[in-house]
Amino acid sequence: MKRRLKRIISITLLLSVFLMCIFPVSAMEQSEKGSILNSVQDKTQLNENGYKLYSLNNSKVANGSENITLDFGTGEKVLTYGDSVSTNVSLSNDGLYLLKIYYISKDTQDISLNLLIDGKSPFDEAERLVFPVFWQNAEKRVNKNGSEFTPEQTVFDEIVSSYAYDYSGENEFAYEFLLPSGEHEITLKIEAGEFLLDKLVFETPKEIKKYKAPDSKEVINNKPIIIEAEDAELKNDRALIPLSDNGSPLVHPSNAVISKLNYIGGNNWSGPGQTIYWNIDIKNSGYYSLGFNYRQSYNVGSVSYRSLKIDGETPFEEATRIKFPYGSTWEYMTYSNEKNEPYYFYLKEGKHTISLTATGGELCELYSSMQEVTAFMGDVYVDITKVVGETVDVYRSYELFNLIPNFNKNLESIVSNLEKVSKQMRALQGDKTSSSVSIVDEAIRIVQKMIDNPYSAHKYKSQFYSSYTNLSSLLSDMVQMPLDIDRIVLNGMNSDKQYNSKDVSLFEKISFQIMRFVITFSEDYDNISCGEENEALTIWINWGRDQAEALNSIIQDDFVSEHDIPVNVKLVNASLINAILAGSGPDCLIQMSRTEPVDLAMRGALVDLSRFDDFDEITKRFHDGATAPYEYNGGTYALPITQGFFMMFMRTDILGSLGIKTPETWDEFIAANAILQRNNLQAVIPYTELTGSGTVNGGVGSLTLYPTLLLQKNLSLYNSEKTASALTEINQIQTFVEWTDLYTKYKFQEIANFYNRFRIGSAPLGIAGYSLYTQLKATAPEIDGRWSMTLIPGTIKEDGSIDHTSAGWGSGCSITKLSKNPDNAWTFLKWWTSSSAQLKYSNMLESVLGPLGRVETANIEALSQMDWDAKMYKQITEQQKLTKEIIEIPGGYYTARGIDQAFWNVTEAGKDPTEMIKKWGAIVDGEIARKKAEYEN
Amino acid sequence: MKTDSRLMKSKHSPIKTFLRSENFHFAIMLAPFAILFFLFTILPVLSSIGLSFFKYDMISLPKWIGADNFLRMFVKDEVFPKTILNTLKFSVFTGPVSFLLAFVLAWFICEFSPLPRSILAFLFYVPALAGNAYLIWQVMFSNDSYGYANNFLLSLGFIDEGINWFKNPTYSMPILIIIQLWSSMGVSFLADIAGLQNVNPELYEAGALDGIKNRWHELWYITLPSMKDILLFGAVMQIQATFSIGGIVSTFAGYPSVDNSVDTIVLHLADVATVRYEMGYAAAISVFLFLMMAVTRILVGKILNFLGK
Repeated sequence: MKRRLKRIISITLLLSVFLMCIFPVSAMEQSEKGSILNSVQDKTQLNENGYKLYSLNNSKVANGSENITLDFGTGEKVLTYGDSVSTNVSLSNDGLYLLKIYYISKDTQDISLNLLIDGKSPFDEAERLVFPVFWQNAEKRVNKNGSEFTPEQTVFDEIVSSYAYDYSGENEFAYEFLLPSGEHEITLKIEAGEFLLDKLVFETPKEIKKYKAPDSKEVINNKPIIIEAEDAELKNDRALIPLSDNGSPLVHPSNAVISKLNYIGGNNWSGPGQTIYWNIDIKNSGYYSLGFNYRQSYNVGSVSYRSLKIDGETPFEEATRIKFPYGSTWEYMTYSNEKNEPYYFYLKEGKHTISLTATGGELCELYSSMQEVTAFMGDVYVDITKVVGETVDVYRSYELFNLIPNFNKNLESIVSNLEKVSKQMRALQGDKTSSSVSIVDEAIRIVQKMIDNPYSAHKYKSQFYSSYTNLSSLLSDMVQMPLDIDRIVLNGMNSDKQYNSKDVSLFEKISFQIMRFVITFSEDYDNISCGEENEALTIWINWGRDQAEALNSIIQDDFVSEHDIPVNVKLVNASLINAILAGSGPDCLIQMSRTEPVDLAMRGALVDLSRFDDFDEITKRFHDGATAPYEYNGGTYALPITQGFFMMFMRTDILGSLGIKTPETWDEFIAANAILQRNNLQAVIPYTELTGSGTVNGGVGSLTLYPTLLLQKNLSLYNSEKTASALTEINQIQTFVEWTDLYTKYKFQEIANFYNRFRIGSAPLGIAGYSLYTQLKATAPEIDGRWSMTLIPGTIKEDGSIDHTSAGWGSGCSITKLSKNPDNAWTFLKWWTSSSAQLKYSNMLESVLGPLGRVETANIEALSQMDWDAKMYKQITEQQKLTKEIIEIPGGYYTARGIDQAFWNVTEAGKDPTEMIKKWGAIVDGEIARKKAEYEN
Repeated sequence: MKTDSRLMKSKHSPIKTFLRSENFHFAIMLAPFAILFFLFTILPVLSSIGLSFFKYDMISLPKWIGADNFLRMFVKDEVFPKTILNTLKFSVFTGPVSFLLAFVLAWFICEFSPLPRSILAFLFYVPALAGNAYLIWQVMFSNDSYGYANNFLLSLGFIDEGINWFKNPTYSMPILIIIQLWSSMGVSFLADIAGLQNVNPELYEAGALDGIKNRWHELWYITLPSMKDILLFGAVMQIQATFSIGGIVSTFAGYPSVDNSVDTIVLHLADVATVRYEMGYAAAISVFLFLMMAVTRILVGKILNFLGK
C-alpha cells in the first residue's frame, strides 16, 4: 500500500515537473489578447488610381478595331533615363488595346517606361511599365575536368517585342489600355534602361479559342523531336541560366561525377512574366503533342503554372495555364487534358519558337482577392488597437461593436471574402487540401468567433493578428511558380516512335548515389571559381553559396575577360587575422565590417589605398566623406562598398485618417507620436541590441538615433585629434539627454519589431534603415501603395533651415598585405566598386534571392539605377546626400558599448542621464587611450 | 669476460625487456589517444599558460611582458572582477542545485519499472538534448508586450508597460539562472541513473540485516558511497559547465549586458580575444579560469569523501 502510494505521489510529482517544462509551449497557444478595429464606411479596397479599378471601369468598352502602329521617329538615337518621346494618334472609336513595343536593348538594365496619354498616366502601374532585356547564352564554359560552368549571359541585340505586363502577378494577362476616340498625345518617359525604340503598337486583344481536338488521322512518323531545355535560345531575365543537377540519374545528360549543365529554371524561374524561348526545326508538317521532363519540387502539394506560346501566339485558351504538378523528383509529363488525351498543335515544316512564361494562372485572381481582404483585416486591426491598445485588458468589456463604426459589418465582410477565397482554393487544389487552405480556414474561424461573441471580441486580438500575418506571408509567395525543365519533347501524332521517358532501375539509382558519395572525397566544394591557381587573385568570402556563385559569375564574365587577371573565389569561413597568422590568405577583402579596416590597418595588415595614383578619382564614386571611417594615420585602408542610412517610414492611410502630416522636425515627430499614443498606436525609433560582434559589424551609426542627432547638430562623436571620445563634452551630453528623453519622457519603446507593427499598422510611423523598403516591397504586398518613405525628421539650425542628416553605416573592401600583386588587386577593387559591377551584382542577387537581395551599394550611380519607386527614389537620393559617416578609431568599439550602457542605465534603471554618460564616456576614453598606447610605441 | 657479457646483456636489456613487457602493449594501445590528447589538449593548455606572459595580437610577434596580464586583470580591468563575481553567482546557484536536482530526479526515476523509467529519463534529458531549445524562453521574456511574462503581468494590471527583462540587472540574473537550471539537466543526470542501477543489490540486503532502518539510511550509507565515482564525474561535468556559462547569457542579455551585470568570465574572454585580439591577456584569463575550476574540483572531491560518514 505504502509503496503504491509513494509511487503515485512520485508520478504526480514527475508529471507536474514535466508539465511545467512544457508549459511555455501551451502558454504560447493559449495566450489570448484579442483584436479588431473601426473601418470607415464601406471601403472598396481598390486603389483609386490602380489598374484594377481602371479595368473594371473599362469592362464595357469594346476591343479596338485594328492595330495602331506608332513610330516615334527616334531612329538610331539611344533612349535612356530622362528622355521622353511623344507622338499623336487619332481614333474614331473608343477601344481597348494591348501595348507592345519593339526595341533593341543597349544595356543590361531592364527598360522602364512611364506611359502618358495626353500628359497623364492612365493608372498607377503605367508609371513604371517594364520591358525586359532579352538574354542569350554565350558559349558553355568547360574546365579541365570536363565540368561545365554556367555560360556568360549576353544581351540579345536584335529587335525584340514585349507587351506591357504586370510582373507583380496581380494580373494574369497584359494590361489593356483604353484609347478614347479623338486625337491624343502618347508620351513615353524613360525611367530606366538604354535602348533603341523601333515602334510602339497598340494591338487589339485577340480572342483566344478553346481547344478543339483535330480529327486528323494523319500519321507523323518521325522520331520524337527533343529539345534540351538548358539550350534555350532566349530568355527575358538574366537569372534564367542553365543549371546543373548531378544528384539524379533521371535528368539529361546525367552524370554523377562531373557537373553537366542539364536543366533550366529553378527558383530563378518563378516570377510572373519570366519567359524562356526555344527554337525547333520541324521536318514534317502535322500535328504534334508536347511532353516535358520536369521537376516541380517547390510548390508542395500544389502546381506551378506556365503559359505556352508558339511563334508568339497562344494556340488555345487552355495553353495559358499549363499545370505542372508537385513531385519530389524528375518526371515526364505529356501535356494533356483531364481525360489524359494529349493536346495537339499543328506545326508547319520549318523553324518555330516555343516559349513558356511563368504565370500566376488561376491564382492571380485569388491573389488579388486575398490581398484585398488581408489589407482590410489590417485596417480592422488598427481600428481595434485604437480602442484597446497594444495589450488587451481581458477583464474589461470593450463592446467593440459599439465603439467602432460598422464593426460587425466589417467582420462579416471579412468572413464572406475569406470564405470565397477558401472555396476557390479548394476548387483549385482538389481534395488534397494544403496548409494554405487551413490558414484561411483558421482566419475564418477566428473572425467568426469575434462575430459570435460580440462582448468578448477583443480577446481575439492576438489571434486575429497572427491570422493576419499568416495570410500575409502566404500572399507573398503565392504567385511564385518555380519550375525546372530538363527536356521538351514533340511527339508526332499517331507516331509509333513515341518518346520513352527514362526508366531507371533501383540498381542504377543506388550505383549513381554511391558514385556521388565517392566523388565527395575529391571535389573541392569551397573553390567556387574554375580559375587557375597560380598568379590568380584570391578572394575569400563567407556568404551563402548563392551569393558566392552570383559574385563569381560576374567576376568571371566581366572582370576576368576584360582585365585578363585570373581570380579565384573561395568560400572560407575564417577571419583575416587567422589567415595572416597562417601566412596565406586572400588578396582582396570584398566585404569588411565597419570597424575592421581601421582595426587591421593599425596592426599593419592592410595596404594603404590612398597611395594609388587614381585613388582620388575613384572616391568620387561615393559620397563625400564616405571613406572617412576607413582612414587611419593619414592613410585610407578601404573603399566603401555598402552604405546604409535611416529613413522615415509612414503608413499614409493611417496617418491620413488621424490627420498627421509628415513630421519635418523632431518636435513634430514627438507630437505625431503623441497623437498616435492617444489612439493606442505608436511610433518606433531605431535601437539595435548589442552583441559581441554587433559592436564591430555595422558601426555605431546604425545602432541608435544618438549619432544621427549629434550629426544634425554638427557635433562629432570623437574629438578632432581622434584621441578620445567627445561623449563628455557639454553639447554631446545635452544631445544624449534629449535622446534618452524620447524614451523616458515620450515613452518610445526601446525594443520593438518595427517591420511587423508597421505592416499591420499598429506602428504606422517610424525610422529605420532604408533597406526596409525592399523588405516591405518584397514581403508585404498587402500594404503596397499605402505607405511611403521620406527624409528623417531634422533639427532646426540657427538660420531656420532644417538639417535632416542621417548617420551612415556600411561595409568596405580592401587589399591585404599578403597580396603579391597589389596593383592587380587594386584593379579588381576599382572594378568591384564600379557602378556596372555593383549594379550587376545587385541585380543578380535580386534575381536569386528576390528583392531582398538588393545591395545597399555605396556607389551613387549604381544606387540611382536600381529599380526604385519613382517618388521614393527621390527621397532615397536626397537622404543619401544628407548622410554623414562617423569616423572609426582604434578602440572605437567601446564607444557603442559605452553609449549602450549609459542608455540602459537611464531608460531602464532610471538613473540620471548626465551622470551616466559622463561615467561611461570616461570608461570609453580609458579604453581608447589604452588601445592607442598599445599601437603607438 | 663473463661479467662483460653480462654487462653487455644488461645494457640492451632495458629496451628489450620493455619491448617484450606488458607495458609496451599498453603503450601501443594508449598511443593514439595519448598523442591526440597531448596535441589538442595538453599542448594548448601549456601554450596558453606560456602565452599569458606575452602581449600578442596574432599579427605582430609576441612580446614578453611578464606578469602584466595578471596584474591588469585585477588592477586595470574594471570589467573582469565583475565577471568573476557573476560567474561565481551562476556557479553557486546552478552548480549545486542542478547537481542535486539531477541526483534526486534520477533517484526518483529509478523507482519505476524499465519502460516508464526510460520514458521519463528521456523527457528530462530532452532540454539538454535539444540544444538551442532554451530559445523558447526568449518568447516568454520578450522585451515587449508580446512576451508572455509581460503580457501576463500587463493583463493583470501589475505593470503599465513591458519590462525589459534582460536589460534590468534586478531581473536578468535570476531569470538567467532559471534558464540555465532548466537546460543543465544533462550528462550528470544520465550518469546518475546509470550509477544508481549499478549499485549492487546485495548490499541493500546486507544493509537490511545490518540494521538499516529506512530509505534515507539506505541512501546515505549504501547508495551514495557506492556511487562516489559517478557523482564525482557528474560534479566535474557540472563544474565545467557552470564555469563556462556564456552562450545562454549572451543570447538573452547581449554582450556586454547592462553594467556588466551578468557577463561571465567566458564572455569577457571571448570579447578580449575576438573583438580586441589581445591574445596574451585572453590566455591569462583562461589560465585564471582553469585554476578556478581546478580548485573547485579539489574542494568537491573533499566534500564527496564525506558521503556515508
